[in-house]
Amino acid sequence: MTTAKKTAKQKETQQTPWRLAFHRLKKNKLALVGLGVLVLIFLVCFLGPYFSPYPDVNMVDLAHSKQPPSPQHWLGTDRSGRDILSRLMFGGRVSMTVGAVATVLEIFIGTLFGCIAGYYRGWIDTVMMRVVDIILSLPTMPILIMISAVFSDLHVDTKIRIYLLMFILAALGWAGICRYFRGQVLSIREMEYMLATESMGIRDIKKIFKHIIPNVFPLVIVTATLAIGDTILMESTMSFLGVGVLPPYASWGNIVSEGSNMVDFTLHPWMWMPAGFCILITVLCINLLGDGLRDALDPRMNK
Amino acid sequence: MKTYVTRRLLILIPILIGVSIIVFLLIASIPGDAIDAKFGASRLPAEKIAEMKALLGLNQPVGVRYLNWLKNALHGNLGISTQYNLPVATVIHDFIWNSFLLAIVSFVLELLIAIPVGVLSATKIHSFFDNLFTVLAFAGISLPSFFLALLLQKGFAVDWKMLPMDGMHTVGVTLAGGAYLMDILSHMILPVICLTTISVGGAMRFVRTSMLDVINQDYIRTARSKGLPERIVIYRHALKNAAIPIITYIGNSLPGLFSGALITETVFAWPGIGKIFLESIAKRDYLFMMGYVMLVALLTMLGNLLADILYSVADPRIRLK
Amino acid sequence: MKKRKITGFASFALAACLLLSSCNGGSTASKAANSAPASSASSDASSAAGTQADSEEKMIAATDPSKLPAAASGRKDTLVVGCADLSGIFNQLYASSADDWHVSVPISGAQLLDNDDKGEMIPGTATYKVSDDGLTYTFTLKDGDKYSDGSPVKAEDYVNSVKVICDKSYDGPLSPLYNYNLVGAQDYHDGKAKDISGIKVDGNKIEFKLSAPNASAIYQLGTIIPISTAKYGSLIKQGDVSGIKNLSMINYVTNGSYTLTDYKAGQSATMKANPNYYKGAPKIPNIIVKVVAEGEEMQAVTTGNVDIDDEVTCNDDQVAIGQQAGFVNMWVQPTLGYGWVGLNHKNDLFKDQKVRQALLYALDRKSLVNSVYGQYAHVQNINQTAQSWLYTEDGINTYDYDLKKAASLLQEAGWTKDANGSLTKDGKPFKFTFSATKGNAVTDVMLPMMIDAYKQLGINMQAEYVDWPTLQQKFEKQTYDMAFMAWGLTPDPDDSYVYCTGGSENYLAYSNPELDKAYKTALTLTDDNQRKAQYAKVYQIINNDLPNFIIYQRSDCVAFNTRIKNFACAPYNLIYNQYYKYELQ
Repeated sequence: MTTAKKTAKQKETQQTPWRLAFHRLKKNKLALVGLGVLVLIFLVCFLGPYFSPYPDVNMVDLAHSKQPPSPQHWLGTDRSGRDILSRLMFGGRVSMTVGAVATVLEIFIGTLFGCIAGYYRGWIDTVMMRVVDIILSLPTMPILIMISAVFSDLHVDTKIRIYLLMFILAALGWAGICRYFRGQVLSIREMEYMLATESMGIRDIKKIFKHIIPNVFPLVIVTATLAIGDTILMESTMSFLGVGVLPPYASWGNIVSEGSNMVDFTLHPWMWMPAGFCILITVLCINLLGDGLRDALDPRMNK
Repeated sequence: MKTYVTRRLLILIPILIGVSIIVFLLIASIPGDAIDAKFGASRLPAEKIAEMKALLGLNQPVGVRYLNWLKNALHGNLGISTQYNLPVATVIHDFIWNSFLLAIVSFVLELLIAIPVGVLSATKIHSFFDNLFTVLAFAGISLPSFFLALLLQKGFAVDWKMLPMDGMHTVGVTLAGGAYLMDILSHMILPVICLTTISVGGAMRFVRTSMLDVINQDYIRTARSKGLPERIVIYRHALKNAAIPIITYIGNSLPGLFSGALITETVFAWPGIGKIFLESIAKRDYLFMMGYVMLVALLTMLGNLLADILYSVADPRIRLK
Repeated sequence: MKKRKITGFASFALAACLLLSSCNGGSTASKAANSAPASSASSDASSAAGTQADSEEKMIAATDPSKLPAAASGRKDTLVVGCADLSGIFNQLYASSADDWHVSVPISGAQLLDNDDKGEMIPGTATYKVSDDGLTYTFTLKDGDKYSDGSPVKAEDYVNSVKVICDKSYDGPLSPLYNYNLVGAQDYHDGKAKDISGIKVDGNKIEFKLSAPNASAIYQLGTIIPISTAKYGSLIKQGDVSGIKNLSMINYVTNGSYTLTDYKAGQSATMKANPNYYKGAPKIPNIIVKVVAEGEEMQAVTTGNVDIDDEVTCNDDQVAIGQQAGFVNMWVQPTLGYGWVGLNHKNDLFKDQKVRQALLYALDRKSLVNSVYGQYAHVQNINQTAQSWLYTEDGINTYDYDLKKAASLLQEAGWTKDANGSLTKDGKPFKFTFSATKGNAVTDVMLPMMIDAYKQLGINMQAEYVDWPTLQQKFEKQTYDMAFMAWGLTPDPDDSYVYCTGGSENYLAYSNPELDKAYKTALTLTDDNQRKAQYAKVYQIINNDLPNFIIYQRSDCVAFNTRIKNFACAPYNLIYNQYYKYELQ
């Protein structure tokens, strides 16, 4: 009886690595604040428009253009008389979606290729790593701008262009992740349990998906979180330069750029400042959260 | 070591060729060319336009153009920039040192801030100091450069009129010696603040992490348990070991000093290579674009190599194979 | 004629190109470039009749000169001019951007002829005579013109630049003179003759012979500048003029008003007065042309960094900033040109006149223009500006904003709304793409507006941003649906090459036999009254059939501080033609 009780109790307090990590994360105030604000921004962007009196964010009203913040327009209106708060919410949707999807894509490609290269080694590894070397030596921003210039001529819907943008961002982003995971896999491969799977004759695919990927998964989460921040920044820079999200769709980057001529810049700061701060706060929160996750998931941080 | 470096340098060759093919194809697939950009809207007759395109070899197939470029590049001739009517190497030389000036100053500043703050953060982990600088560091990383540059301009140049808004020199005054340097310095302040703010966070976090890694090592605990004063533990033992990744970081950052800051230079009208590159895309200055991207690619690769070499020099335990 | 530029830093990326293009009349630059330096002009503009209040030239004077910042008042003998970009190509034969003209025009040389403020050709370094048959142009050089090094300017020096322009290795923006029927120019280009047989030099006389009369020839011949044979003659080889192309312009020996003394790549160019200038030594000893980031022109003047900038976007906000500063004078003049939306007539959607009219009715141009430029621009309805004596409002439909009318016109054209509210005809949706360059003050407001208005009609309009060379290629290859352009007009009213079937710049792929005929008739008429009536017909046809949508005419604004006295500027004589007149207080 006592032994049974003891095992039950043991079960209760037994902690999975995930729970441990969550526990550690809860203690990291900065990460929690980041998470909280992020959830808030997310909710405002995705639910806010349903409560907005300006449901059609693309509706132009030149009679009310360039108005400073007022009870009707909390953040004022832009050059086309559109409500800035509403545009910020829609722009946030676009910026965050582009950031998240592009990151998921690059993480997926990067992890998969990294695992394959690290697992098989040999010529597959060599070829893949040379490709990764080539991509990593390309200067990111110039190449992104040139790729966008190539695609600017493509006759596709503006909406579809947003997806295209995600692919463009992912096309350059995966290489670094790939190299990183290859390194991780190389070290995991040498671990004893992998040698055990070898002797058990488990198939390669299964080994990669069942044993290697789950082991690098915490790293994936951390890398992904931090990468989303980077991608949002990248997207905003591209939109600022006019090679990102196209009108009438808003993204935080092109809202900043819309108000960035010297006149709107000095006389109508409400047009561009809020979007800039939205980028700053969102990316900051993502980074804080990512950093917290890294601390929480990194076993070396065990005290 | 020697064989290692030779081998690494040899690997550079296929990578560089790969990079050049990709970039050349990319540039060639951008619609429009240098002549369209320059004379597109003019009333020049179509034959004249065709004649000029032929002069630049734009009527040849991409493959031939690439091989021509490669052949010339191997002889050290990067071609003529259509935008400036000067050899590409001259244009790069004209602008790269301005970029370097900005970059080196902000890089030194970055290290001067990042190393002490990073070390202190690591020793006082989760303290108020650490949290404050963690937030600040991430805020810096999270700032879009164009936004920061605009904010700085609005504050310091437009509203408070403390510093020049853009450019590199005050024109219209002849200055010599110290006054000349002070003038450039005053123009540098805003772009340097901008570049440093954006990059210092990353460096700070890097130093902090490297330091934490070391502090958690057994030998540091041993040193502590032997009763060594904390100061000595941290600065003599821990920092020395944490220096290795930091040196790698420096090696990796070196190429960035020459590649220019696209956005910052453009917003501050700083005559650097990054600004010139952005303009060259719009002017379809193919050979300059090619020269610039290849230069940056080469520098990146050399930077990685340098980092690895420094790594092994700093840490004898690591043997380069 | 100068380019107008986009406001906004945003422009820099893909849009730095716009230097040559777009927004507010960019294409002007290259257009005028080809017709040579100081704008091509004709007597036609002399009777300009600006009737509208916003199309008059005016000076908004400084109110408080004492506010002049120390930065500006500290410069004693130097004038600082702002411009958006300097490429370093300062030889007028090769300079293709209007920015570079701020340097290249004064330093490259003085032209045979000048134009007055109305655009009429007047004697420059020479007087001229045209033979009765219109085939022989004789220029007689004025006595005593000297280069900056003191050597005399000779008649054969003017032939040098003609040889460069006609050479087959020449790749600059000027139109080779064989296009203007100069005898022997084609043979020289092809290497069949060692000299251009149509040019004869006799003492101080230069004679040009044309094979057929050409009304535009005078603008080409009049803008020829000399190249010193003694100094640079050896660089001009038939079949290879790279010597001239690659020549450093620092201390270039010129008969222009200034000489270039220093150039800091991409930053500034320093010029020194040429005491031998034939109109008298310039009053300001030194001029520095400085690069100012786009969109910051007015700030550069208000902070005192530059004394004068002629590239300020002319709208209420900018003028307000200038007035607030107190010490800034602003010269506002109507831009000779208009902004328009091109429709690709190869696209079936735009083949129906009713559809085109409906699309224009649905575009609220008045609000658009007011929002972008305030009082400094107005809606334009025909392809001629109010400054021209040919301008007319008779029988011109103003297409005032009217969505209902647009909807009914579309219905008449057979377009009906389906269940989703989308406009369809024969099962096909009304959908097209609008191509524009990024960072353009007009399209930034116009695109969302059009998308929104057309959506109400059930039309699906997509927008895309491309850069200038891409847009140019789309025009040339006619692969666009709808696109925005702006350009400058020369006083020569002939723009048949834009609208006539097969015209060299008929990017619209437009063809209308009635219009072709009307233009043809107009070109043969010599009597002013008949011409005016005939052009009115042309404008009416275009206004009714709408091959493209003409949107607005805006204004140029030159902002300068109170240091500058004797300021002069006119649509046909921009500041770089007039540096020599200015004085500093």
